[in-house]
Amino acid sequence: MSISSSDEERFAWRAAMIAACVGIALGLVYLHAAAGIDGSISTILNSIFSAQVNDPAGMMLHYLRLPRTLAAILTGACLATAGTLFQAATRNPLASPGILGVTAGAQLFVALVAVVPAFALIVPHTLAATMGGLVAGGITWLVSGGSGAGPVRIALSGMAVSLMAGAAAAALALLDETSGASLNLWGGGSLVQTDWSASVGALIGFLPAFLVTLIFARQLDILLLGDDTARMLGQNLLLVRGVALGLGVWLSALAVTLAGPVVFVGLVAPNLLRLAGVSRHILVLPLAALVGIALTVGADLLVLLLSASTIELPVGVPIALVGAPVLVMLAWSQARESRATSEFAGRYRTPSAFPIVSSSVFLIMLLITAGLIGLVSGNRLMSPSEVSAFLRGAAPVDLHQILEWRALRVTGAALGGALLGLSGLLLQGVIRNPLASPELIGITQTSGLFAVVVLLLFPEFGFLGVQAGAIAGGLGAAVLVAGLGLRQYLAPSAMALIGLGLAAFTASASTAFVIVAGFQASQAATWLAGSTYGVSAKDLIVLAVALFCLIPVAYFLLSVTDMLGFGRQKASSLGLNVQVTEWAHLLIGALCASVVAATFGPVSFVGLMAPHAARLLNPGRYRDLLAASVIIGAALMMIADCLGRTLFAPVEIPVGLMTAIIGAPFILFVLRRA
Amino acid sequence: MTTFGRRQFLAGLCAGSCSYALAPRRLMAETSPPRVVALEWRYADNARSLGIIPVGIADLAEYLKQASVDRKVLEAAGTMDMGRRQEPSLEAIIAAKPDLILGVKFRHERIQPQLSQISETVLYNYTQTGNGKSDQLELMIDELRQFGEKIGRSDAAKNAIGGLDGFLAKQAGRLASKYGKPQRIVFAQFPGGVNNVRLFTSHSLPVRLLDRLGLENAWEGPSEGFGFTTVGPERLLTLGDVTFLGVAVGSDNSYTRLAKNPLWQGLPFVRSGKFVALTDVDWPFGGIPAAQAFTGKITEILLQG
Repeated sequence: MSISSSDEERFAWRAAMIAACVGIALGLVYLHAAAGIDGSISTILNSIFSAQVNDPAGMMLHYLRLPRTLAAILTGACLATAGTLFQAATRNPLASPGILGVTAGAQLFVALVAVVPAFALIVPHTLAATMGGLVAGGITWLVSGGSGAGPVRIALSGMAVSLMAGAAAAALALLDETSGASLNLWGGGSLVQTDWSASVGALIGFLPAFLVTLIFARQLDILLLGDDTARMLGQNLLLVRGVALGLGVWLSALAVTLAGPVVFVGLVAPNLLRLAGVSRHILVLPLAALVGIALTVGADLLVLLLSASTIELPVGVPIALVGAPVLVMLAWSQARESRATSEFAGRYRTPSAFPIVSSSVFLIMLLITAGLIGLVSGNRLMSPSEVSAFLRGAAPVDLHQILEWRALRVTGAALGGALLGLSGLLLQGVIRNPLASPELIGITQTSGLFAVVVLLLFPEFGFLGVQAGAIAGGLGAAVLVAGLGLRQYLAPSAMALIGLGLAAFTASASTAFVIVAGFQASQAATWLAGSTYGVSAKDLIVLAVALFCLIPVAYFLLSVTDMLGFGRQKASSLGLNVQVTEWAHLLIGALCASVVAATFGPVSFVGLMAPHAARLLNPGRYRDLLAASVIIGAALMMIADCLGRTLFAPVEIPVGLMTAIIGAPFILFVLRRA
Repeated sequence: MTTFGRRQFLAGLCAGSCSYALAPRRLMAETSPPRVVALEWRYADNARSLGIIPVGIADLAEYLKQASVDRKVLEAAGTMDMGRRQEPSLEAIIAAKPDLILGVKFRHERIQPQLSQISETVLYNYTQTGNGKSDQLELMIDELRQFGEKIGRSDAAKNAIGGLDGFLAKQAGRLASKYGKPQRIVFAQFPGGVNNVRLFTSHSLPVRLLDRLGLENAWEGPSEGFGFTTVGPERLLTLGDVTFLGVAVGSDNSYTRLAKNPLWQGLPFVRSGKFVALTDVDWPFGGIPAAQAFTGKITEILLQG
């Protein structure tokens, strides 16, 4: 009896929830269609298929408003379904189109079509976003090792692909200011439509994909039980995961084509339902779609109402405002429930290629060569005799001034790169994941966000305020990630997942901020990409002091990092205070990265690449990697900076974009190896 | 008598020799103009208005495409590219050996210390007047006048401003003789890759110029900081029967997208043939040369229409 009554209760609860979802979604859709138009329900329905020629309201409904309403509905449904699929396939509640690189890939292709005429011949405008999303999603999947990969790995690979595509798109926008302006407008997301074609096209793409996902609903449930159980139950994991990820990428690409990068819906909708206790996918899928519709339509309704009186807000902004608290909530529950498996950094077992002496000679040569190349190249190639005249202090005034600034920038790049290399080494040690780095766990992006916020809201604090804000942001991110992720019973990779969520959120938040603040596009792109442009001697002193204070601390810490690699229990049985050690690693690592972000803005991939390159050169214990990581980091950054200054001179590409673009092949290589 | 005469003679000699010694120098100052580097196009325009060809201009390749620019003159003068307007190449600026660097606050305030080390630097407000009601045409004229005073060419500045006034008055007269009463206009940009439209406010530079042609702005919206309001296409329906001047750049922008919509054909200003598509060659945000090219072009179009 009691069982059946609780069944009845559950049934009633579900029915009520379904009714609520349907009711809210329908209500919002009506309000959206009717906002600012005196149209009854019957006028709206009549206007769907044809326009009433003599009725201005009917014309407007048919030709402008209803396509926009449909676009909002489809964007919400596509993103929510895609999010559900990604989360099921990767068994990671934080997976979403934004995190998997799909959005950034779509953005890159749109930028390419706008700026490079030859590319527009291959890829038509209308398909650019879809194709970009598919390509980026495909790369993420391949790089992470296909459908057999664990959730952390997929998410980290996706983030790496996102960063690369985003950097390339930003570089394109900088090269062409006219088109760049509009890329930025697109970057905030907009559901405004000019005809039915995009919406109807998306509808045709959505319906069959959604039907297939419903057919696979049961398989998705089984997938959540874990790989081993699923396999025992006779699941073809490869097939199910492949279908889920493929459809997810397809659906998010559809949404990106319609609305631009509106990422949070995919994260929020399925998780809200999970929090409400719905777990079966046959229910989760349609309900998530409804919640997604309600979110997107509601956000766009707000945009519509605001635009009638004040300004046209990017639709991504209200969605991000809803997304932020949900993300925090998720991070909490994730921290409590995660059973994420730990991925130990695979030790490179290559026999030492270089004995110690030759490798240190190599490193010093590398540092000097990179520095000299940086000094010689720029807007104009300097001859060695001019450089030597400068070094002796005998150069003519303007030559001296040019070389002095080059020297400042080269030194700044070297110091910054060294700090980033140090940061990456510490973070990889504590998170025990080969892909851990300041930009992949959100420290760099949060620094950037805080800098932008201080710049916009408290301009009276000046540059010092911006720097303090950036450092506070970076440390805050580390504290958040560590506070949620560093638990006795948690695998360290849970921290990576939380950090990833944070990174995705803060990156889109700063874009939204910059757009709402009405920056000109190129100005914004400059703030969002790290650059050694305009670095001053004062900045160098800050960097140098930070570097030379933190190196001894790191040297001390790194002596026990290898113990962390044995796992917490073993490490603590060896007499290590694991918690203090882990916190120290994280905070020092974050401090290094945020000092750099405070001076240059966000620079990614150096912290990721340097420790790996150090290991390739001379594998060993963490402490042995210190010098190599620092020097390689410095050299990488100098080379990236030099390329950025030289390739398109006198046009300069910020170093933060160059490192991300150079980083791409290297990361692919590392991921294939690991 | 003789002493007086001798004194007079000596004084005369002195004055003569002085004026002889000073004269070439004053002449020199007039003949060799200051080397100007312009980091935003309007200030390249301003320098040209005063008869100075800048030695360096940022985004030179794009600047040369402007209708108001005579490519050959700049190429003959050997003007150099200074890189992007946002982060110009400091090395290129040094290599241009400028006497004066002209930039805008919102882009170049961050590098002002570096620029000042190279040479004297002046940063302007440009079109970023915030939400304030300051007249952007007056601002442009003021900038030119101050620049003229700064380099000792106030007369040239006065002439250029007078020339613009005369030009605008003449065009306005031509328009008035055709139309009689003031035409209601809207000036807009169609940004690429999105579906929104930027409508310019009454205080923005292009609309102030059109106002001087005797045209009346029909858009009353708030400024988002640079003198325009971003609106969705639905707002175009509220504009009524105006003359719509829209700048569309590239092959994919909100105009190419909107023009496919049957509703676009139904808009009053499209139906009555009062929609004018412009390109960015006629750029209204520059100095006097750009302003003349822009208003001249608009007048020609309206007289034909």
